Amino acid sequence: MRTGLATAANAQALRADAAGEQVRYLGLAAPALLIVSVLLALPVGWMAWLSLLAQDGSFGLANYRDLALETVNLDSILTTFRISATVTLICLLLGYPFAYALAEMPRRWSNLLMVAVILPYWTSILVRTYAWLVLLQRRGLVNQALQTSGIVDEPLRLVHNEIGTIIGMTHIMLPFLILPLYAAMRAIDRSYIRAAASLGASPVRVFWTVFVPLSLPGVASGTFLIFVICLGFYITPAILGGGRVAMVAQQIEKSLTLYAHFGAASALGIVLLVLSMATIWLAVRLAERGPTSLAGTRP
Amino acid sequence: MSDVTISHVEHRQRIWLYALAVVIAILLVAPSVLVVIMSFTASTFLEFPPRAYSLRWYRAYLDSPAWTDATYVSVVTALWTVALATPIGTAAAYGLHALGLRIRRGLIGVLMLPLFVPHILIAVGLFFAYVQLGLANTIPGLVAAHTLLALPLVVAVVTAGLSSFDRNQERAAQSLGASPLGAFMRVTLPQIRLSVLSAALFAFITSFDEGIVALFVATGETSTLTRRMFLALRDAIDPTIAAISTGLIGITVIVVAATQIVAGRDGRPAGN
Amino acid sequence: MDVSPVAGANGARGLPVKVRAITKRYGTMAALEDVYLDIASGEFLTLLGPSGSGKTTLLMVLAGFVRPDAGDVHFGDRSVVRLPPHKRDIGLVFQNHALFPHLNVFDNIAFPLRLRGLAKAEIADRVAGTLDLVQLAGFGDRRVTQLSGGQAQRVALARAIVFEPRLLLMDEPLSALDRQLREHMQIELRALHEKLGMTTVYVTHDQREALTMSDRIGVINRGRLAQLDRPERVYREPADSFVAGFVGESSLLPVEQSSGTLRVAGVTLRTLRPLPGTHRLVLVVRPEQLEILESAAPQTDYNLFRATVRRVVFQGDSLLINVALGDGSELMLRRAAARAPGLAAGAEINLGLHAKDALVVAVQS
Repeated sequence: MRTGLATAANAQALRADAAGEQVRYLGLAAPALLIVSVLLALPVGWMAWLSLLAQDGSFGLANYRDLALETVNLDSILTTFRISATVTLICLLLGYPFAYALAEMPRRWSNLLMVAVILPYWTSILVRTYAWLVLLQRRGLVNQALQTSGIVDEPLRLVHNEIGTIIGMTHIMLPFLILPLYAAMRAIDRSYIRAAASLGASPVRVFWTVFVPLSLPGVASGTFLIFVICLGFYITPAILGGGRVAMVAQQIEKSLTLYAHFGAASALGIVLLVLSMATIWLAVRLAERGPTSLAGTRP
Repeated sequence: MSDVTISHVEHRQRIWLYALAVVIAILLVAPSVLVVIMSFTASTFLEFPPRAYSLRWYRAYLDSPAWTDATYVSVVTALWTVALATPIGTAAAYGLHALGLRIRRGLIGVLMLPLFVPHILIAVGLFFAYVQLGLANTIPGLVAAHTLLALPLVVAVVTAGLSSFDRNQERAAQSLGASPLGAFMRVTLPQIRLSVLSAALFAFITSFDEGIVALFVATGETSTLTRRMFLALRDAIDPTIAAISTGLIGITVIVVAATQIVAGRDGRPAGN
Repeated sequence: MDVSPVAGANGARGLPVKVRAITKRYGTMAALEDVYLDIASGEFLTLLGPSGSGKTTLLMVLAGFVRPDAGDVHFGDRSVVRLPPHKRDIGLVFQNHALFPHLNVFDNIAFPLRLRGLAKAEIADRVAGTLDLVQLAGFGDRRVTQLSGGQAQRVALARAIVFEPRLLLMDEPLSALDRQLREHMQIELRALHEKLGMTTVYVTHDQREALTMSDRIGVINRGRLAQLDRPERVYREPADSFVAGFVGESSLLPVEQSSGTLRVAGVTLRTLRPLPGTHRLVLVVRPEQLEILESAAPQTDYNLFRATVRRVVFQGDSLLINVALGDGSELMLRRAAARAPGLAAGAEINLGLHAKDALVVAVQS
């Protein structure tokens, strides 16, 4: 027996029920979403507002203009990029072989060695920075070792400068690269490698033509991640740089605390934010296009 | 387990690679280990190896009200952060898990933002905002900031735990008469409790070890341990800091060990 | 908790179920399209169909886990389509048993009873009784991980019936078990159904299982009910080519119609069965209906085909014989192994299909 009218009314009620259910689940996520959006929107919004307020109280892009004209600001941006790129590169050179070794070894050993990555990952950045401060001093362990082994006669200036900053940042960023890279390498479908090997390719050839291209998405996400974090780094350059290394974060802090230039500090902060977000956006787009575009060849 | 690597090369041939990995592993852990050893030195200089051992710097830490007050602030803040971030993050992870894929992806992106915004900006920006709101140098303000930083981690860890949970069990519980909340409490939660526990532990370390935001947002009486450390480091290298660092490393080791035991999985923390 | 009180022992009578105009779409794909269904109190109805046909979706609509886009569902005279699952007071058994691993067997089965606030003593009583019913007496303190597949499914069943629901829904509960266990459980399930008297809706893709257990079978194809009837009728009088092809073994041969005559494989077809009114037709030939005739001489009421044996497959109790007709179309024959003449590939044989067995049905994709 067809009850057309009753079931038509039902459709509306059922749709309302479905919508109500979605709202209830969204409600569970609402507190978290509220906290994140408010506590992020608040500082970013405030900074954006302040950045548009010039020293004389007028409203406009004066701060940004001054930013472009003041060499110290441009220098800090260039320094930041330079150091971030250097750290990222060294991390890649050290991290890729490490992750590859761990991906190849038997699980038991790789689990053991992973502990050496996880412990620093969760150790406070301050503690690790402090450790390098101690080690890189003139009378520190590194110089002692270099002198006793005869490599140098006099202690090298390894701290309170850019070298110390780079060493410290590399050490801190390395786990951030290794973890996603290792995960990506472990996830590579071994049947590709077996196929290449069974077709007669030597291990070296298999590595370069099959493994490396397949690992590139992991490489991309890892390198972009640490590059972005390096851009905004504060603690390590502040301590290991000894005031001589002016990355953007230091510059912002100086403008704020020393000169009380809220507008200038905010403008620089917004610039840093835009650069960081742009880098991430780029990384996400590259990730979306997949391994074929990165490798240039088909797996 | 075979004698052959995944690339069908004998492990033996890879020995140089494995040796390199071991060297890098040592380099990763060495600085922390060295600091721990040096913290037991009897002299006023940090040296390796220490000529004489003593606990004087630990006593210096315990005797200094500035340091112990700061520790108290750090502990209280971290505990409050866990108390807030864990349930809020778990609820969010559960709610998003139940929603459709498209909505989920967008909203999870928002929740992950704190991981990608440079902390210096969060620190400076919140400082500005807090000054206006009267929340500067308050523990609630600091707790709010740390909760912001810990939420993405909690959501990521709990989401991972939920994805390996069989939803049919929840449906079975409901078909047997349990309300959605009842099914969650009686069936889902007992089985994801390991993920929730790991998330709580990660939230704790995130707050306790956090440096930059605390530097800007909590000054004077509300200084955290990390803030005092930072200021002390810029001024002089006090061996007391080595003792404090050892303490912090110890806490990290305990927390990480706890999460490994709790998870029983291979060593990959979530939140990547 | 809004659940009807538990009836006394053996007092449960099955709920009649009415399904009206149920439609469910996922994007542009219709999982269920305007489904109508009436299930009698205490009936064992099987929803039979291939994977993706919508049978599980329909079951989940009855359970309340899938919300239809339109339509209504009644349990008895109560509309339940907008009722959440936990208020429907039904038993549900999943394909993967979905037992709670953090509880032991006893606690799993006691779960619905505790929710309904029964006293400890009565709970213990009922759980023990239900364990007996599924032949797992004494298994109460086992852990879920210690159970075999068959045992786990029986615990899941016990959990679903311990509170004496008047409607029991089962989603392919036996498909993960091996064949012997499966056939044993089919008989057990049917016996349990008859003893307890609740209405049972059973989903499966195994037509043999459906034929064995059901009072009626609802064959589902692409979200629509193709046929709803007793097993014998579904088998002997399939409504269309889909049902004919899905239920039981059969060969389907296209039928050409021209000015009142039917032709199959170049041979004029004689049939005593009614013809469907549609244009596109097929002949349904069951392997056991074909006879191997001595001679090619025409006989009244018999359709004769000349065929060449392609392959003979030994299947234990019977032989499956694959033959090709004059125009290349293939047929399957089944003969008891003992009675088969020495057939070999390449032999030419005469096949006869009696006109009363010549079933012509409409084509359905």
